[in-house]
Amino acid sequence: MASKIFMGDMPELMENILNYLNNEYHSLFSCALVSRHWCKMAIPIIWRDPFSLDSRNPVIIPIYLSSLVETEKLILKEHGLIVDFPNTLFQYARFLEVLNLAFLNGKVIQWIKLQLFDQQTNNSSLKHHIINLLLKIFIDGGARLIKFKLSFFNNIGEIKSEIFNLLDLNKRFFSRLEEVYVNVVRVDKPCFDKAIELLRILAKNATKLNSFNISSLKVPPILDSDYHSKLCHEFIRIIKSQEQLRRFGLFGRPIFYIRLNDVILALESQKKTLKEIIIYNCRYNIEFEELINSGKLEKLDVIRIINCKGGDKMLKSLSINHYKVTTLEITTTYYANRLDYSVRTLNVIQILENSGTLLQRFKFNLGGHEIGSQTLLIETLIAFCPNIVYLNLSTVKLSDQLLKLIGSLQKLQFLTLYWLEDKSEIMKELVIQLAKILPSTLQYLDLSKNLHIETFLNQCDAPLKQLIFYVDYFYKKKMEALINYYMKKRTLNEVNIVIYTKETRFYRFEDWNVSATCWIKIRQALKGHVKLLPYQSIVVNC
Amino acid sequence: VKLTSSEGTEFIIDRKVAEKSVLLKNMLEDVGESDMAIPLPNVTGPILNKVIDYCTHHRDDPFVSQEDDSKKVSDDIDDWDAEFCKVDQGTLFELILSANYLDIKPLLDLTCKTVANMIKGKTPDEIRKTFNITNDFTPEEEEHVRKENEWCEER
Repeated sequence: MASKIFMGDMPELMENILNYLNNEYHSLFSCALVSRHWCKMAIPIIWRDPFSLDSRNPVIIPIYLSSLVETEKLILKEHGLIVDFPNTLFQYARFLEVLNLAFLNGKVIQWIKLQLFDQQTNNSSLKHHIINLLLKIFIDGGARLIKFKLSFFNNIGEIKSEIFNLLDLNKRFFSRLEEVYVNVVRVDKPCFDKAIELLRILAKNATKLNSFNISSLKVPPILDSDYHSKLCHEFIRIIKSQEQLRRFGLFGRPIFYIRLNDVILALESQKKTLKEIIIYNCRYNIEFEELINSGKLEKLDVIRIINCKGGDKMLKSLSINHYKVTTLEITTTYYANRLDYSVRTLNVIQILENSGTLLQRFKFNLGGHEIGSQTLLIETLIAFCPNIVYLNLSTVKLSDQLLKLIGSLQKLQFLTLYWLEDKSEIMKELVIQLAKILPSTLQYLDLSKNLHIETFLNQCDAPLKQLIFYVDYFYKKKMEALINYYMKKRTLNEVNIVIYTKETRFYRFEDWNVSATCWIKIRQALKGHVKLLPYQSIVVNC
Repeated sequence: VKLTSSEGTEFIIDRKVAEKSVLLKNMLEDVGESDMAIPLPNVTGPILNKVIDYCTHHRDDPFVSQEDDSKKVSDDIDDWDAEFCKVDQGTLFELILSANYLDIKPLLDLTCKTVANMIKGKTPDEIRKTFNITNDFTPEEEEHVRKENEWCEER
């Protein structure tokens, strides 16, 4: 007899199991076809986030539209759009949990094109009509969003006031929201006003956000005074209306037009819960310093500073104010690593000392530039931070001291290393030592552009599961070493290989610019033992 | 701490091991120091033995809060845990029920992941055979479900 978990007695346990198939649509589809009960359990998971699946058939649009009244269907039919799902088994709209307005827009365009056989007519008003119909179906259908992405694109201007009224009335639509992304770009006035209206409703109805993120703040100065203050006002209202905001992200451009002083200061209202701050590709805002200097962010322990102009000031404030972190990520790209983007290692060292045994994840990647004060940095890590699980250092010297650090990290699971290379025998000897001292807990290794891959693999005893490395067109020996390593340890199941050419261009597996036969040869060399995966599906971020 | 299984078998374990179970932790905090055995009528002796093995092995693991665990992936099972889950299907489901009853979230996650891995990549028929499920769809219903969800099949 089947377990009662699968017979309907314990639906919460079955849901827990199926949740682990989250992105495995093929398997979830199989589950939906097993039996009536399995179908009832799998369908809500399948229909949580159907718009993110970019490549798939837009058939979901007519399925949603099937709940329209006949007169509405007739109007669509007059435009050549057929909704051929008379009675769906479920009201799929109520399962929607993730909504990105840009993806919704894209999927509707895709469906219209498919139905009208790519006619070059202007379908803009038809598209807006369908988007409004769908939003109404979602809100009326009882959807309760968990994740919402609002992009200020001009289509927002076409959202009807009826939808805003519905949102105002149906508080449930936004009441369970946990993650919100607002992407601000230049738009015309009607669109801007509608976007502001949406933010106002969010501030009112979404009070349980876990994560609030603002991105691409490139509002031109010409709109500044009035628009800017309206925008900031709504951002502040959203932040202040939260019961327990844990993560705040600012994703911008290197030139940051907008001033968010008051928005950042509003984070103080979340001082008892705010755990993580991300600033990505934007100019460090002096108000962060004020916020951090007040020493009031009691829970703050995850800091990510990525390509941030003036990010060093934030690190300094964190170190002076004795913040302890569990995750510290500092990344700059090669080109961004100019004076204003540079990070002084001494500020980082101070944070590491303060954090000590709490630190679990540390990324210090200066985009090909060598990390300064390395000896002191590594000494500090050895002396204070034994609990690191994730370590990403680039670029460093492969030294005895670095080997001592890696060997001492008994909980290390993820390692990314890029060291300064030379072709000497000493370097080869150090690579052999590295292969031998890797902790047995290590599962993931990204060796980047380092040479001596075959030497490393021939000596490696760590039970790696995932491996990333670069090869040139003479990869045969490296593939042999990879297979030998696989045969020896049997733990490795996924690799990503990057081919680099004489022109120092890099081609990843998913990048078909490099001859497909080359990848076929690599696959053949791997003999089906190890899966060759695209970089994005294997890389582990800090 | 003394525990009694459904058949009355007594187990003595460290308090730290017992406290991996939120149910037991709360009970111990409420009752305070006591020699009385805690009865666990929903857990058989052999299953309790396995649960204790798990909690003993993971006694020093940090507590993982619900919030830190938002990413649901099933392929991050370590070697010891994978070996621990190499049991017959009946035992695996009993472990899920016990982990749920005793409120041991990491064990519940591990066992649910293991079952999810047993489902992955299988056809409906293979799933039915694996878990002994009867197909109670009418052919029309099955076709209906297939038609409305076949977009999942595209890769």
